[in-house]
Order: sequence, then structure tokens, then C-alpha cells
Amino acid sequence: MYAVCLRYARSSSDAADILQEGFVKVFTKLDQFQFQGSFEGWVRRIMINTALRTYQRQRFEYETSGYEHLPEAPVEPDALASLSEAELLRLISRLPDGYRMVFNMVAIEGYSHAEVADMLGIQESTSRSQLTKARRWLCEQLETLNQIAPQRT
Amino acid sequence: MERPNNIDDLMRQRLRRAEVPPPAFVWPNVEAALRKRKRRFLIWLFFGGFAVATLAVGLWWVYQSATEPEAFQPVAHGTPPDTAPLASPNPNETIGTNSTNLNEPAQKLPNATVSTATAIKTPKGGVRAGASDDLLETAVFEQSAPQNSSANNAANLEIQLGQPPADIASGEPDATTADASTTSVQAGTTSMSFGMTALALNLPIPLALPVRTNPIMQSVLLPPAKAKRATKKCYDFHANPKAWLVDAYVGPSWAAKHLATRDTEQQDYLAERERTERRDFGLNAGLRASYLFGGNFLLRTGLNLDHFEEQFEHIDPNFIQYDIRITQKFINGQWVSVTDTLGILYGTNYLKSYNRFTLLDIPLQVALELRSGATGVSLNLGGSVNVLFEKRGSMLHPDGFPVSFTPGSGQQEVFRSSLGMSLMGSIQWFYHIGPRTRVFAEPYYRHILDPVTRPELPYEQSYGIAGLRLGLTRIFD
Repeated sequence: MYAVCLRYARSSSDAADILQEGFVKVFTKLDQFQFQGSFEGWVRRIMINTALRTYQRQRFEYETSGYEHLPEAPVEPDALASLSEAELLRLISRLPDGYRMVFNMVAIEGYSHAEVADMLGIQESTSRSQLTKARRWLCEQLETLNQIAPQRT
Repeated sequence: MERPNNIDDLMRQRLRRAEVPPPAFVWPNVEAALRKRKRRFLIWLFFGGFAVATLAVGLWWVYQSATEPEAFQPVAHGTPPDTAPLASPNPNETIGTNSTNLNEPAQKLPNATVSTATAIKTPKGGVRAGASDDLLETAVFEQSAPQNSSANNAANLEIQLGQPPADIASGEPDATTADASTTSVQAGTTSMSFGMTALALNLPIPLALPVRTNPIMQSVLLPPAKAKRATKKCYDFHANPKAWLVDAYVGPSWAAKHLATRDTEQQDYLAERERTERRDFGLNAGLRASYLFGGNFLLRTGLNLDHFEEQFEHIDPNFIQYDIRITQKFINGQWVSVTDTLGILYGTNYLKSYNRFTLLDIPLQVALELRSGATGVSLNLGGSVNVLFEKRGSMLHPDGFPVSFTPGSGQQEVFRSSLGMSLMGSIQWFYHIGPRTRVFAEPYYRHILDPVTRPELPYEQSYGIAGLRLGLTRIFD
């Protein structure tokens, strides 16, 4: 679960906060688990909701809404293979809050834009825009890292 | 659904099931947070119970106000009660009687006469005096021989429906025996019936007893609708310039902390304290008794509780904790202490605590109360003496690590045991919801005169507390 928190948090200390708060909720609301679906999924959902609430106030403060069609360049699988999971998590944590939330929820957790819009209290178009920007930003970062990597070796 | 993108797939494959062990400090913190939640729940339960009890007492007051007689009202036309002139005999003056018994001789009413009260029957069965409210207000009981105790006993008067009437007859002011011949009873439209089964009148009757304080006159002369309207009126502070007011209140508060030092070496420490401590929830509650004198001045005292919390957060990036076990072993004929290292925790330590401060004070305030109808304001100024200062929590030590300041923890004694004097000021807005009951809202500010920290420390920590009191006032004679 710490990895989940790391994906949603800006920093490892924020992730520890979210994990701690999330587990406090898990233990205090344990009686509300209705054995429908996996327990891990239930805990994961609590962690995600806790993370969302942590950044809810400032998340979209400076981010404009509206769908922006940006070209999406494909990413070579090798571009990620050279990076460890810790490096990937660090990369995601550097995304702006809004990009990070939407990218995690849509790309990794598999939520639809409608669900994301509902959970974050934003418009669907904003969610799509954030995701597109997040992908583009990640691609640029991966490209930069891949250019640096051969020089390091 | 979003069109899949290969960076999504690649990231999902790598991160969806990634496992990263959490920092070691998380689990003890979760455990501590769960314990704190229980404690906070108990605190809320206590203050919630207090608020409910206050509300219940308030509702009881309101209920009592609605069922008890109106407060003292002065005799109308500016006639002071003790100077009310004796009424002259008037053959047309009438006081109630059962119309079926008009021809019966009136019972004796020793020592008591009633004048200027002309009774008429009202549509609702109640009886009002005279043709106007003015007459109602001027109904005056007179007593011609209050010293006669035997006559007082004899004056216990019972009036029963269907029984021969007990006429409260008018006559000569000094008459000790009043009979029907001295009483002119107007039958017909001005006859009255008593809407009650029994009345008891105990003498001595005051020289001029106001209508509203007399149960007989109230039952006889006040129509029900009038009585109901009257309960909505305010307490008459002009007629009764000395009274006791009891307040119960509760409300939110905000504590403003001020850290100061003249030692330049302490500046960084205080800046770090400001960074790691944050204001949190606060409330105030209390019971207060006020003595009204001079019509508009109050002297207030009671018990006031101020409770506020602060969050303390500290992150130690170079945290190391050794878990060791010391055992005594018998080796080569002697006991030896053996130390085993069970584990070493290191990494970033995160500590968060809710620091709690509770102040119990005895306030002493002088207030000026300005009224206008059912509402008004009072300006309160004075001081308070602290009788209890409870503090629990953690703070940053000057050397950069967190320490507990809870008394008895043995770590750091920072705060004084008692806070001494505070200056308090408040403005209360009140509204009468009944003749003896008010609701009020009272913003207040108190400044604790001395720093809360011990005098030997190189820095001073001071507080000012602002808040809002919401409560109920009950007025007693």
C-alpha cells in the first residue's frame, strides 16, 4: 500500500502521512467492510480516497479546465525497462498534483474519466486534459532520461 | 473509456503490483493515532454532553417561564404601590360573583376591600376588570387593618362554583364587616362567573398588590389570551432593579500564541517552533452568576473553561532507534549484565501530536447593560483568576528533537502550573425568549497577562484567546 501512496503523494513524507491516516481509517472502519470484493481492493480504495482528500484543496487551483488535443508520441518499452520501480515512482511524484491524480486513477487504477470526474469534483474534459498532459510530460521526461542514461553508462 | 496508450500499459505493468516497504515509524504512529482518536472521542462526548445538558436546562427554563406568572409590573398611571390612595366607596363598584347567587347575602370579608375593579364577563369565560386595560392595571387591593391576625385567618376565602358567592365587596375603607347591603352587584351583562373551582387568598394583603403578582386577580381578571401574550414580555428591570442572572454558555474559541525572546540565539529555535506548531480546535464553556444593581449594572462571576489544541508536527530525517534487551546471566559464578541489540530502526521519523491546553478560571467582571424591548447589549469588562492549567503534548526541544511537556513525563517542564490573572472583555447581545429567560451571543477576548512559560526559560510564550459564547440566561428575583 505504501507504493500506492507514493504514486499519489508529492513526497515520501506525504506518502507516509497518507498511509498512516489511511490505516487509521481502515482500523476504525473495519466493521464496514462487507466482504464484497477483495480486502486488498477495499484498503487500496481507502488509501486512494485519503490521498485525494489530502490534495483536494490545492490540486486544481492553478490548472485550467478544457480538453486540449496534444500529439501523443509512443514510448519505447525499453525506455522504462532501464528504470527501477523507485525511479518510476519518483518520476510520477514529480508530476503536478492534478496530472498525477488523474494519471494514477485512469492509467494505472483503470477508473473511467466519468468516475474520476465524480471523485475529484471536476469535469470529464478536465480529466482528459490532465491525463493527456501527464502522458506528454512523462514521455518528455523518459526521453530526457534515456538520453542521459547512455552517457552515464 | 480512455483509449489505451502504451505508456499507460507500461506504467501499469511496472507499478500496479509494486511493493515498497513503508517506513518503520508508520506502525507505531498508527497505533498512537488510534489511541488519540479514542481520547478525542471522549473529549467530544464530554463537551457534547455538556451542550445537551445546557440545552435541556434552557428548555426547562423556557417551559417554566411559560407556565409561571408574569414578573412584577408597576401599578399603572405612575402610582407607586406604596402610595396608592385608598379608594372611595362607590356603590357602583362591583367585584365578581356568580350570577345565580346575586341575591344571596355576601360573605364577610374582614379587613379587605376591593375598589375600582369593575368586573365584566369575557367571551372566553375569563373575567377582566373594567372596560379597558387601564382599569385592569389599576385594580388595587386595600387592607384597612393589617394588624389583625385573627381577621387574617378569617380572610382565607374560598369561592366555589355553584356555592354561595364570596364577594370581594367594596365598602368603607375601614369596614371590617361587609355585607350585601353595602355592595352593589350589577347583574345581567356585567355579571361574572369564576372560571375556577377554588381560590385561596392569604392575608395580609399588601396595601397595593399589583395584578400580575396576585394569583387570584390573575385568574379572575386576566383573560387567557392576555396572559399568554404577557408571558412574551420581558422582565421588568425598572420595577425590580436588583436581580440575579445565571448564564450557561458554550462556544468556539481561537487561541493566538505569541513567542518572544531577547536572546538572539533563541530566534531560530522560536522560528522552528512556529513552523512545527499549528493552531487547532478550541472551545469555551462556563457557568456565570451576575448580580444586577442600579438597574443597569451587573457584577459577574462564575467558572469559565477555555480549552484549545495545537498540532505539533516534526520530521526527523536522521532518526535512529536501537531496541536493546538487557538480561542478567550467571556466568563463571557471577551475575553479568548482557546487552543484546534486537533491532535498529533508522530512517525518517515523523511525529504528530495534538497538544491540549485547558484553563479553568474564576472571572470577575463589571457589566453595563443597555436594553431596548426584548433585546439589548451588555458591555463586560474585568479579569479572571486562573485556578487550573492543564497541558499535555509535545514540542520541539532547543536541541532539535521532540520532547513531551506533559507534567510527570519527566522530559521537559516548560509551562507554569497556574497562569494568574487575565484581562477579559466581551460584548453580549441578548434576546428575551421569555420574561425570565434570554438567549445570548457574546464575542469575547481574554489576554493572559503573564507568559505561560516558566520564568527561568530564555523565551516567553503568551496567549490571547478570542471566542464566541452562545448561551442561556435565567433571571431570578
